[in-house]
Amino acid sequence: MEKEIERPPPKKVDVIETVELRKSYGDVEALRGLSFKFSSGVMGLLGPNGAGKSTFIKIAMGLLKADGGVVRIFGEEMSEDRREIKRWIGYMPEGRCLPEALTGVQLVYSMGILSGLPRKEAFYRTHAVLDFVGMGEQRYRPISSYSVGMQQRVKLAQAIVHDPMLIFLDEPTSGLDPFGREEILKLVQELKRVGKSIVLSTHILRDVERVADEVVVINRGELVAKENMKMVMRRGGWMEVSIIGNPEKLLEKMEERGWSYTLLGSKIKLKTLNQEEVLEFMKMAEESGVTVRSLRSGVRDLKDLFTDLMKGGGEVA
Amino acid sequence: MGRSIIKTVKLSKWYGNIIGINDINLKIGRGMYGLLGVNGSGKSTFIKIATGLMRQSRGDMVVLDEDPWDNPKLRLRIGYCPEGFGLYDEFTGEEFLMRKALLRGYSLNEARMVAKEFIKKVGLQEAAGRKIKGYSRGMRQRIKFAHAIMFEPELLILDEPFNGTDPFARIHLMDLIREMVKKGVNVLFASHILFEVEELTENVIVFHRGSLVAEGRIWEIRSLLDSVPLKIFFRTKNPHQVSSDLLNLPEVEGVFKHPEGLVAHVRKPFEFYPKLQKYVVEEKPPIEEFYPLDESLENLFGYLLRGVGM
Amino acid sequence: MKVERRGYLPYKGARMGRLSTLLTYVLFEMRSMLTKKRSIILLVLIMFLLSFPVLSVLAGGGWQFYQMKKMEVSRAILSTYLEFSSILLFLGLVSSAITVSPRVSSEMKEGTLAIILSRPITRDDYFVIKLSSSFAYIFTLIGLPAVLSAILFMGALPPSVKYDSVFILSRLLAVLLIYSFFLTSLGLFSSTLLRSPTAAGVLTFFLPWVADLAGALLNTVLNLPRKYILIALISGTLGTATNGFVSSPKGADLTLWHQALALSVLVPALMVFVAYLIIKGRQEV
Repeated sequence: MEKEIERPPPKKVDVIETVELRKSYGDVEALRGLSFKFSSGVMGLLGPNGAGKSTFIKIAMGLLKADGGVVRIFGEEMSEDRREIKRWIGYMPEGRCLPEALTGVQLVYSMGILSGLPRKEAFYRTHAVLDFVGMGEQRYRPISSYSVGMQQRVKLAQAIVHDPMLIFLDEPTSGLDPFGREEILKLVQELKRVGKSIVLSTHILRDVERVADEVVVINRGELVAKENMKMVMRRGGWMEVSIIGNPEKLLEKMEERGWSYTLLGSKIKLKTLNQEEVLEFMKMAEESGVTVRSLRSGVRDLKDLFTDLMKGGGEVA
Repeated sequence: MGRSIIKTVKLSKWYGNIIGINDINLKIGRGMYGLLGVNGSGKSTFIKIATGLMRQSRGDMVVLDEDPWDNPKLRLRIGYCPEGFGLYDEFTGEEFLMRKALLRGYSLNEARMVAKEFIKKVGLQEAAGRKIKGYSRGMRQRIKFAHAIMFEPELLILDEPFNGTDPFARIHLMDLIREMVKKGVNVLFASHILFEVEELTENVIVFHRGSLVAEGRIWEIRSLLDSVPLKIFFRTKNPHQVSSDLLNLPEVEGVFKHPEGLVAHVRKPFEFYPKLQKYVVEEKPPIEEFYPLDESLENLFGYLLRGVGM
Repeated sequence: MKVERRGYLPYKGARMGRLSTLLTYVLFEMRSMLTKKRSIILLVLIMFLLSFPVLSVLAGGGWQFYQMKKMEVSRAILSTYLEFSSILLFLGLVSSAITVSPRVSSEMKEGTLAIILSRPITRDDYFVIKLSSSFAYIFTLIGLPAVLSAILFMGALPPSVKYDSVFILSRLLAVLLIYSFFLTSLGLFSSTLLRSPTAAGVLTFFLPWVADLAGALLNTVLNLPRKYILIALISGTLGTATNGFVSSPKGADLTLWHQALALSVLVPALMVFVAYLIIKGRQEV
């Protein structure tokens, strides 16, 4: 049997680099000159529906041809027939995509074969990755009987059966309940820990905050923002206070002191307090007969980034 | 003020010999409540009974002081946004909303006006004339939402309203919900995305395997959980002093190091907070921040349903 | 059931080359098609039907061939098997409609195409896989049992009966290959054309009948010679082509036979080409 030795992807290059990527469907422009670089780790890919996320992923995987521009994966230009590059890539599409007649094992095994694993290795790895994603005996049952959670696991298993270096996850937690989401996010973190690069496209901002190192926001086929997650999640210039009791008196006192505030549900949002001011505030609370339960400086998150982007002309698509 | 929006007594529903919900005694007051539970916990059954789509096997439910089953008058007072995406595909978005107005006896012109108004509200102007068949999931959610909030319902029941919507639409829909609540609309919504629930409301109802597990404010439920001590974080310039002082309090079980400060494990937080406040005011130690670490809904959910944090 | 979680395992081994990959996957596809319950039922039915000639020669000792010349015996045996051809064609059509044609369309409908094309293969590879696995499947179902039965038949004849086994087997094989190709092309054509697996199955099954009916109608109404009407080729021409293998036609008949033969390969080839273009051009994966 003819065999090929795996060429490992080159190190120290950007995992993904796109230059002026363009793609239209008829007269709808899905991508209009998308350019960015993703060096390594986990990249969150965010954007409204129809922003071009899926189109970008499909072009980066070689499933679609771009009208113009280049995608480089590990420094090599991507196209459909670059078989050796496609081996470095795994893909978990969004929605239902599994053939219902096959069992989980059959599906993952067949995908292993298609990725070029020899038969015995494919069989061995099928079970190894199904164990990794936590599929039990259900793996021998037809996919039509699977719950959403099991389908997501099998989808992830088939994406990693050939040990890719770069994994595209399209809405991996969509439709899952909190425990199911947690399981998938833990698997993503584990994959990141063993050195895989991951592109996580999702609508759930908290997922990106949990696992991503970088975030790329695209809208209408263009790059809107590319940020380091550490920069996004920096401390904001405000404090959030929660109290037990009726806040009215405390709020009056704050007004007298000249501290402006806003109410966020039951939380009081006010400017950052320094050491003495914290003490003063606690005294005010004590005098007002309420108990402070939590006093923390606010942290910006992706939602704030999005709110800023929306204000800055990012229209609701 | 004190009246309850939804009240159930021993509410149960069986499907054949499978239990949907079991003996639910619950009073839901005014305001906004999040309805939580994993798949198959009985959330949808509860919502279906409340909207009159299904009849309970046993027990009673009262919604806005009326029995929901077979009660068209009550239906007019409830706005309901179902979970699925099966809409009237052949209608345009505008026609879909107009239909509801026409069914309420509006004239054609009035109905069109109302439909336009709500389409604008959810930001679907561009797609209003297109058939729903061609809508994305996010657009379907918005048109469903517009349909639910038409005619100022007293109670809004939303089942997974953000499913499939992008972050922009989520922020927009959340603002709309907050606006409705400010106007005095009561909202009950089910969601899998816990932090979104947290962002909208403090009040939650947790179902598990058909039973009611907890009801109330998130942090109160957390504080009442005796099995797991509450972890409270302290940022301070003098960790040694603060940690030895904290250990003198009987509620503090232990104090541990944290890269940015200290973490105290606390039992009976309700007794601890006032003492902590007194300590800060009287002893004047240099405390910059303090807050519970595992008070999020995600943690609570894990503690309640699995006995461990997530 | 709770599973002990295993950590992630990297893979350091070798990978198969392109040809081995495609071959292994084609075998996997074929196996998963053949092990379906419906395929097994069809296979048993076909084998049951094809056991009759063998049983008759075992029971009667082939006395009817005693007074015949070598070529006559060969032709008689061949026509015995080709009498089964219409029933094989029918059962092959059923298997093509219920097993082959839903394959591509269900992969497009369920979205499996996306995860298949994300593998290190191209659309051309995908097309080759589908064509060859469907062809191999159909041939296994209708071709192999027929050839096997013919071999057994000849083996059961008494040694005094002389026959030309190369003549019989080569022609039988030729007919069966043409049938298999025709059925494969039909299944592949409708399954790439239509998104719904059920609709694809229905189209596969009824297209030949409709074409035949239309051909017959045009033939009687417009009085056009049947062989020139392209849509009538599908079953009419196959019949002409099949008969030509037995009767070794001469003169004007030979021209007619060649035309029929050419068309019964060209029309399926055209359908396969259309299927290829559709797979190649389909943007939404």
